[in-house]
Amino acid sequence: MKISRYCVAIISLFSSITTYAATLDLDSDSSISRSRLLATGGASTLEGAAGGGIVPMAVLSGYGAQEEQSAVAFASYVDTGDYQLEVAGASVSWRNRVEVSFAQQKLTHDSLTAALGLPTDSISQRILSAKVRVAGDLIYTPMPQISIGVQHKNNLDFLVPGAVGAKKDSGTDVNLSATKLILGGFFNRNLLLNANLRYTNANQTGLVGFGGDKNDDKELLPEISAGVLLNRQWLVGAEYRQKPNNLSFIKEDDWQTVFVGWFPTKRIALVAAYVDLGEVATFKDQTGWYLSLQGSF
Amino acid sequence: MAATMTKLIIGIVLCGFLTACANKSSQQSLYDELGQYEGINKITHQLILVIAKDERIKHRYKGVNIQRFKKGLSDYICVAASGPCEYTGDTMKMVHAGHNYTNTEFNAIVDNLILAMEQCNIPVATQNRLLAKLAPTYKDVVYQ
Repeated sequence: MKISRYCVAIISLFSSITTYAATLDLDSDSSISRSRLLATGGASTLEGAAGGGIVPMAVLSGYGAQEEQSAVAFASYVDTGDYQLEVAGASVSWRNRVEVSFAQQKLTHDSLTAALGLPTDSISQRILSAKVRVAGDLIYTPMPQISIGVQHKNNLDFLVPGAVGAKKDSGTDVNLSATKLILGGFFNRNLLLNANLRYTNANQTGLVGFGGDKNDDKELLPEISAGVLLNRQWLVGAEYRQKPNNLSFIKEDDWQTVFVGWFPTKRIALVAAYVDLGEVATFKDQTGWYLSLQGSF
Repeated sequence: MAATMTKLIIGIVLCGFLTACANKSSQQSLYDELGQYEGINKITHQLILVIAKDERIKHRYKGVNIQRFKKGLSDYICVAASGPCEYTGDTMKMVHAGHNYTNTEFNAIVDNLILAMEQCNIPVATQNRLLAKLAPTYKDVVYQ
């Protein structure tokens, strides 16, 4: 009974998405309904904003140009052995100027629960983000595209984060991103360069709360990513994200990924990555796989 | 693993800058890669066919002398590709002034040009080299 109700909900969600997509297609009879070039909307990060997997970019989600609107929905999964992270979210972009996104994360930590005899086995977090393109264009201006974003995060299961020393169950990150696609910049392949500066006190993106006994102040942390478009549809690259280290009880390491993104059409993007999250809440060497599927409308 | 990946990222970035400089001297000319004037003319022809089906921009070509447009565009691309041509038309700024062409329309044209080059079997590297030459015209075309 419960399962069938779940199925009905999913089917109705999909049918409404397709109906919405169909109405959007009416304003253009070509198969391309949004005008920015393939892959320039990026993928959806774990926190919902457009970018790679762990590092946001200055690009706005979807393919809407400056007279168009666009939207994306995504689901991502990370497995590092001791931890699994499920993320689902969506975002809407207006005139390639403003992006508003939402992400719901659920971290499953069975190993930690077993090791410490915890009463719970997962932590959820909700993130609402906004991003504004303040200057430049990813491709057409000599200067990079520059965006400013805020991400408001609510940790919904603060019991464990609080127990390990996190101070707050909510926080707001501020991001300043610069992204440039250099046409033919890497052996005549298009080169994507991105840098983000994050002002944050979030522990493990906020899944382990905000601030801590060792440090409670927000700090500026650099994040970078780079990729090469082998052709229009395939992007390979890597990301690096510096992390805070606010808790004396559990060490937090910087995050890294190497990824392959596939953009077969403007409708779909699929990203697979190898991730190295270092030590996460007492478990060392958390490496594993990341998979993300994005649909654009 | 961590250190390796950091080195990889730095490597990609550095290589990008180095090749961006090194590229200029040691390769076949873009004009030859495009198949000289005949190849460029084929791309332009294909582009016009794609534009004719594109609801976003086809209305912009009402009343335009297509043969003249085609020759002007082929000549312009030829010059941009350092070919032995002469472009006798007005500057990009002059041609587009007063029309208030939008960012959407510019993207649409680039999208269509890429599609036309794909249909003419132009290799990705050559496509990118040409796009890099044409992209800077954005500032003279859009919202003028």
